[in-house]
Amino acid sequence: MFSILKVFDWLSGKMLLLGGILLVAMMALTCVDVVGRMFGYPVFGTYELISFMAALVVAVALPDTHTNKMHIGVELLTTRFSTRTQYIIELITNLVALILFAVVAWRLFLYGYKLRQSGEVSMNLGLPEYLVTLAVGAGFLIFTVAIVKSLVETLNKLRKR
Amino acid sequence: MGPTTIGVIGILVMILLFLTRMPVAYVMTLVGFIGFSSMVSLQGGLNLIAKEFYTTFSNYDLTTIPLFILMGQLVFGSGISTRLYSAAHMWLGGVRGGMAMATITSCTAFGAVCGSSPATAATMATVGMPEMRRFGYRDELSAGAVASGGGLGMIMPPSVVMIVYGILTEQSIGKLFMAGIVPALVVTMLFIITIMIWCSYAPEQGPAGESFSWGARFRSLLSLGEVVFVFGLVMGGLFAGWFTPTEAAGVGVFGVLLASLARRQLTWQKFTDALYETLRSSCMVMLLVAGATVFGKFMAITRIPFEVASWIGAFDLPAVAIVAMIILVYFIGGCVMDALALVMLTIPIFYPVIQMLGYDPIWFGIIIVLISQMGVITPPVGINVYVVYGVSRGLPGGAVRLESIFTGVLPFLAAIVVAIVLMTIFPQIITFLPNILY
Repeated sequence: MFSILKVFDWLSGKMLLLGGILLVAMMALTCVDVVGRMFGYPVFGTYELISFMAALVVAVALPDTHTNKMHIGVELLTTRFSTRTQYIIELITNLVALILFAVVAWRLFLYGYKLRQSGEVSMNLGLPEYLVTLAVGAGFLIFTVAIVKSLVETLNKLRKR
Repeated sequence: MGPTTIGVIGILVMILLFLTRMPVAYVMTLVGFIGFSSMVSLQGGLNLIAKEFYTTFSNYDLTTIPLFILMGQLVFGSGISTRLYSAAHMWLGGVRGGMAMATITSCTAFGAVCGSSPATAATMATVGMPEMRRFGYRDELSAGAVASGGGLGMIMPPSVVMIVYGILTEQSIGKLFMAGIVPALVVTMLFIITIMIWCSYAPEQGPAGESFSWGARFRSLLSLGEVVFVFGLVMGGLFAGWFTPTEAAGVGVFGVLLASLARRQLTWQKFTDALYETLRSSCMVMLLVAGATVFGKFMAITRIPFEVASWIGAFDLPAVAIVAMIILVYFIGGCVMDALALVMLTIPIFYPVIQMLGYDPIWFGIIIVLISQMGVITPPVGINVYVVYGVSRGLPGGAVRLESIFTGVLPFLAAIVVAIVLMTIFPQIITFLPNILY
């Protein structure tokens, strides 16, 4: 289990790096397109490429955002409970989130598979869009590993008490 | 069970789940998915979540969000925010409460290149709070100014809430940006007046600092070059039609990058930090948008938005009273929820009402932004207050007491209320600029 989590940490770091590169690429492509258009040479298919890259940017950041607890929650009630109760609540909500996003990942793979079967390609460049869908699905799959990781951590904290 | 009953149960379950501190984005997805499945079919629900997540993530208009966040991060990373603050300090530092006024002004200027209010609050807390402490400012004034000033980052375009509002209601984002400029300046003025009044009653809150010569003051303006350049590039290019609002974000990032490289102030470390911080914030926002979309689909089939609209319509109250009621709902909601999440959750419900009453959607968009910025500083869930508190823990002099910040934001809260009343009586404050330009 321990080594799997290490692999996860490594992977989530690498995914973030990929996201950074994609962000810079999005900026660069937009600028080249805007300047090119002024001189009558827009970059063909910018619209699609930017959309695909943006989808990947979000997908690759999913695990790290969860691990860093960046998502907004309402801390109105839980802070009044004992630490033990807080951990138990965290355990349950993480379990629910695990099931939910495992379903999302599964359905995204299925959705990508359907897109592939229907042979759908992007409008201008003819890129196989199912690849992006599958990649987003993979992002959600690794996101579920992140949730498993926080589940294990909460369990450990509970056991130590 | 009728569709409306299921919808009401869904909303109640959602509120209950919020209380477990489960992330708002997860809860909205979960409730939306289960609600939709129970009304249509499990197969329908399963197809819905995959499709909505993918189409939200790859929505071209939403691609601006990571880029505008990156713009603000780069401005912070390259030290432009520090120079902004020192320039404002030179102009205003000599008067009582002047450094708090400088903080407010820098927040507005920073907001012109940043689209997020917690980011603005965090940046100006890092830059402004140590300085204000050095000059003996009390925590109430300094932390209150930083937390409330953060809201100006959202009111001043570019703004994430405006982008999301524009997409949800199919309004022009460029027009919303233009409409936000004057209100942001009005709120800035009102905040400065608030500080003046406050310091005349309680001079110990913000003692007058050192004065600078006029020469030094004008020289400090030179350091504002990048901000003027980037804001001018983004808004000017938009207006001139060189690029769309979506492309403006990419051009803006490039502008900041160019400016900070020209000054040789961006290290590689700070650049990568900015990228990673951007990825996390964008992922948080996008998951929130996706969750709200799934939840919105569920709400749409429960017909609750239409029921609410016709219910309010049947009241036969004057339009102003209905708007006041909606504002009150947002105010209460803003106390317990994040601003962006609240906007996305309620737009499908309130937008039809506003349309029915014949209000200008652009006007309502800016009012929503203003109200949401009250939400970020109201207890118990004022995100900016927690951000300032979090930042202050790492500052010399130690953490500010949370109660001090919540006390400190009260006068500014009153100022925003004045602004909202003012802009409801004179909607032209919001609408005249976009109407001239478009």
